[in-house]
Amino acid sequence: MERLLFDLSIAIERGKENETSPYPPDLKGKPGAYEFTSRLLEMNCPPDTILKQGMMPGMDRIGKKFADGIVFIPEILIAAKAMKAAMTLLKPYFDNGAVLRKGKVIIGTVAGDLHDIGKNIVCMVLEGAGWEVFDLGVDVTKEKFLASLNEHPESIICMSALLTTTMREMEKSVTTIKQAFPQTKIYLGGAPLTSDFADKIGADGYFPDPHSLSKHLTGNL
Amino acid sequence: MINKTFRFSTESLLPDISLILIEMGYSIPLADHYLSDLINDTLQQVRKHTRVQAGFIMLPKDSIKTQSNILFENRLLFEPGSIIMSQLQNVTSLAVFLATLGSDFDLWIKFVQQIDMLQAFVIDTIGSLMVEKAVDLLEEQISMQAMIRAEKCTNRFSPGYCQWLVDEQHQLFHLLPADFDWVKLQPSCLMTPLKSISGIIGLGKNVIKIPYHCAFCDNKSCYRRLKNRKGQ
Repeated sequence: MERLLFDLSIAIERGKENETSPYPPDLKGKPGAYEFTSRLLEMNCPPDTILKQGMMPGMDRIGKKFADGIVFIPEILIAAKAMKAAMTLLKPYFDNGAVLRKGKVIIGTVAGDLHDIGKNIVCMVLEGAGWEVFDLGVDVTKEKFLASLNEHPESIICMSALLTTTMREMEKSVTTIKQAFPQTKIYLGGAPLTSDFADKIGADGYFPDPHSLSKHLTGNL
Repeated sequence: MINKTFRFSTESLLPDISLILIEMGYSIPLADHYLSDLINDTLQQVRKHTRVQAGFIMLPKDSIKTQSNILFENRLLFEPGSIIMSQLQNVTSLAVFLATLGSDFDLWIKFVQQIDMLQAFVIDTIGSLMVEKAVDLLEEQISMQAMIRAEKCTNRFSPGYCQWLVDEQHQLFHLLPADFDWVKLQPSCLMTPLKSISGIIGLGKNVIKIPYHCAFCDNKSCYRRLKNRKGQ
């Protein structure tokens, strides 16, 4: 079983979704994350073990390589796709409580901004790390963040912006959320942002890549 | 006032695979990169989703004065800040430009994103390179017009870069040719279609064009600076 868990982690790290997926070329025709997860479930491997010892290490390794500049966005995207394929098999166990999530994350690109590739990657990495992610999409107003927080008050908020003007919108959103939910942690991401900016507007941190955010969130549990 | 609009062919803007791979971050693109087939397939489809439109307005000769900001017919037009103003010395006219790939391109990305994030990212990267190329071609056209007027050109500058506040997109949009009224500026100054670039080029007899490099500006998080660093 340990071997299969290791193979699953490699399939996710390398972005091998299933037997028919073309990536990576050197694993063409070989089983992927879907098949390994399926076999593990057939062998009665606990779903929580599959998540923690198979999927998460794979996502963690590729996330670290991305943060270190060894791989680029395409590798993260195919890894996330492989992870998602495995996740579909675990979904029933999340739903019935057999696998517990680490917590809830509400994420969105702030009002006025329609960029979402970076935000989508963060969603996939956090899901792969065991978080329940509520993706509010793009052009998210502070009211929409608040409404979602009212529904899931224990959540962490992640905000993204790619424009210098929407950074101002981010400030308004952070202020409004902190007034209503002072204990809620708010983390920022996006190319034009910095840690100084996050400090200045009262957010709890800035992360330049999904891996460092995921590591921070898990470290704070 | 000169007003020109161009419809560059999609083919004239298509980037080659190595450029696309470099744009994605790969420093040494391999001929048999695992993404090559996907990129090739995507390039075949670009024409169906692209409606390139590019154009510029060249303000009359001697209508512009530059001091600490840009005056047009003695009225304040732009305040691009000291970094850009240092590059606009001796400018006496301006070309204001815009290039776009059209709304279908945005819809294409949005549609593919639901099915395949990787291909959506490939399309997005191709789009960014194509619209930059459209502006390169526009810059050539502006240079030719400047030569006819016995003038020289500065580099191109866009609101949102080199510390020029992106809010000044509103002033810039007022100057654009009417053919571009379908390109919209959101309250946040985001342009739609998303794959659009607007900006200015300074013109003048005594203009000195300094090669573009990041030493002009100290914005550490600028995408151009990050890209240059990656390429080193």
